[in-house]
Amino acid sequence: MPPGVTRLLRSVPVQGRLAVVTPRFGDRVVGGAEALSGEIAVGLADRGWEVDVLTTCATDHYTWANELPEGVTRTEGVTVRRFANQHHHTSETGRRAQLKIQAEVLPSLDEQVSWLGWRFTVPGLFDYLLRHGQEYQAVLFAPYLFWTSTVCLPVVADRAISMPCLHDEFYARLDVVAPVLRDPARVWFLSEPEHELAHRLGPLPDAHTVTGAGMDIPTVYDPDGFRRRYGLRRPFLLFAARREPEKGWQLLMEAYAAAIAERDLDVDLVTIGVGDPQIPVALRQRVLDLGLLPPGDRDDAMAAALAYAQPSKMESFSRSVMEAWLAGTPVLAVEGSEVVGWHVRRSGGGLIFSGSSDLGEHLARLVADPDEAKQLAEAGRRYVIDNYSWPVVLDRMEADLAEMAR
Amino acid sequence: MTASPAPEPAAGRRVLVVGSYPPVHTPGMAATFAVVRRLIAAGDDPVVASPRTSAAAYDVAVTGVLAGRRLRQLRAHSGATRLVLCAEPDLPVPVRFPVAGLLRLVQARTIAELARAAGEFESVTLVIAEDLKLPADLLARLRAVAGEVTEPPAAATDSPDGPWPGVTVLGPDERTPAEKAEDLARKVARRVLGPAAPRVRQALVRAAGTVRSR
Repeated sequence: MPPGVTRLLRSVPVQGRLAVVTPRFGDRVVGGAEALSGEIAVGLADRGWEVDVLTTCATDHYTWANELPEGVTRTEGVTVRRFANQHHHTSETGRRAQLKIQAEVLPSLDEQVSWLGWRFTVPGLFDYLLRHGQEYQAVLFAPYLFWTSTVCLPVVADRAISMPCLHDEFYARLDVVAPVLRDPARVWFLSEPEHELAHRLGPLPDAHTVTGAGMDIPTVYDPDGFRRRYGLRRPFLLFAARREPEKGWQLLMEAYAAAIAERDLDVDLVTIGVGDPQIPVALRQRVLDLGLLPPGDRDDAMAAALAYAQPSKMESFSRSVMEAWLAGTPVLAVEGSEVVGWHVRRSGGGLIFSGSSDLGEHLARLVADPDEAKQLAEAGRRYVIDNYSWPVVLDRMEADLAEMAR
Repeated sequence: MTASPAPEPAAGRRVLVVGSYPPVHTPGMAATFAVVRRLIAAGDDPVVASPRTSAAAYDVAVTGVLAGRRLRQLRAHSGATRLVLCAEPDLPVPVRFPVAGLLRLVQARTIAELARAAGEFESVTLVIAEDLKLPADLLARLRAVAGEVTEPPAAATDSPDGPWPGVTVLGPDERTPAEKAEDLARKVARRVLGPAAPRVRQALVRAAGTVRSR
C-alpha cells in the first residue's frame, strides 16, 4: 500500500476493542509467534486500541501445564485473560495420530479431530469467545497450529484475523487446520513466501495481506563487554534459537564440525537458547553453549558475532535473522529456507550455505575481509529498519483494521 | 469423565446441553452449537457435555445404558435445572452394539434410564439433529422423554462448518492397550467370581503390596 494511502487511513480514527488470542503469553514464554502476538497487542494498545490478550495459563510448550493463575490481569497497557488448559495426554488415538503425522502419513479425519485435543484444550476460552466475541472489532489468532486457533477461530470467523505463522511442514497439510486459513475475515502473513505457501495449501479469504513482523531497534550494543563477560577470545558464529532438530541445530553443528575439519578455521560456534544442545565431546572446545540469556546480553551476542547462522528451513519470518542484522552482523542462511533466502536476496545482507564446504568458505571470507562483512551487515540493517520497524508494521496492520471496519 | 470445575454460573438460568461440540463436525454439532448460541442470546447460561474431547466443559458420553446415571452426575455437578438433548445416531441412544441381537434391548434400557434421569430436570427439550435410525416405537418413547421436541434451529445450517465426512459421534476407541487388557480382565473376573470379584481384587492388591514391600 502506498505510504500516502497508509497515512490517510491512519488519519481516520478507527481505534476500538481488539482481542489477541495466543496459546502462551508472558515474559517466561519462549516462542517467536507468541512473542510477536504479545508485541502486537502492546503496540496497538500504545496507539490507543483497547486490547485484550486471551491466552492459557501455560508457559511451557512441552508440558502445557497450568503454571499461571486463571483470571484477569493488566500488564503493559493490555488486559490479559487467562483460561486453564485441560489435558488429554492419555488419548491413544491422539498419540497414534501424532506418530502418523511425524511419519508424514495423513491420519483419518476422525483421528485428526481426536489429535486436535491431544495436547490440551481450553474450553473456557471457547466459551468466552462465544459469549463475548462480538464485543471486539477484530480478534487476532496466532499461530495456526494450536487448539486456541484451530477450534476457537470459527466461533468469531466474521471478525477473525488469522496470523498463521506458517511453515512448510506436514502439520500445515492437515484437514483440521484448513479452517484457520479458509474461514477468517482476513489473514496476515509475515513474508511473501509464507503467503505463497498458503495459496498452495488451499483457499484463502480475498482479504489477505503481508504485514510482516515488527522489530524493536536497540540503541546500544556492547560487543566487547559481551566477549569479556563470557570469556570469548576467538571470532564466533552464533546460533540463537531452540536447540531442536526442527530448528536445524544438528545440521549446523555437523556442517560446522566438517568445515573446521576441512579448513584451519579460527572461528568458534556459540549457541544461546533453550533445549539441550547435545554437543559431542570432540567439539566441546569449539562449540560453546551459553544457555538462555537476558535480552540485553542476547543483543550484545548478536553484535559480537562474526556472523549469525540460520540453519532452519521452517521459518515464517525469522526474528533472530532480523536481530542479527540490526546488531550489524551478516547472516549465513541454509539453502532451502524459502523465507530466510527471500530476506537475504531482498536485503543483500547475507550468504547462503548448502553444506560444510560453503559454510567454511563463507566463514573464511568474512574473517579475511571484514569490509565485506560490514557491507553485508549494513545492507541487512537498512532492510530491517525500512521494512520491519514497529511503526512501519503497525501502520500496515492499522490500515488493514481500518479497511475491515468499513 | 473429564471435567473442569463446574463453570461459574452466569446471570441466566443454567441449562445443560448434551450434544456433539466443536471440533467434532457432525450434524449434531451444528445443532448443539446453534442451541448454545440461541440460549446465550436469550440470556441463559448453557453448559455443554459432549462425548468426545472438544470445546465442551464436560467430556462425558451420555449414551448407552449408563446414559441416565451420567446425566444425573452432570446435573449434580453443573447445577443445571433445564436440559437440552441434541440427538443424533449414537447419542444418546446407541445404534450399534457388539452383540447385534442385544441392540434393541440396550436401546430400550437406555431410553428408560434417560427418562428417569430427565425427570429430575425442570424442563427437557429434545432436538433431533438427523434421522436417529431407531425403530418407530423406540423413537416414540425417546420423544416422550422430553416436554418439547424440535428440529434443529435454523441457525444450525449456518454453523461454522458443515459435517466432516468420516467424523464419528463417539470417536475412535481412546483406551490404551493396557486399559483394554485391564477392562477385559475385570469383565472376566466378574463373570468367574460374581459378587466376590471386588473382595478378591482387594486381597490381590494387598498381597502384591506385601510382596513388593519385602
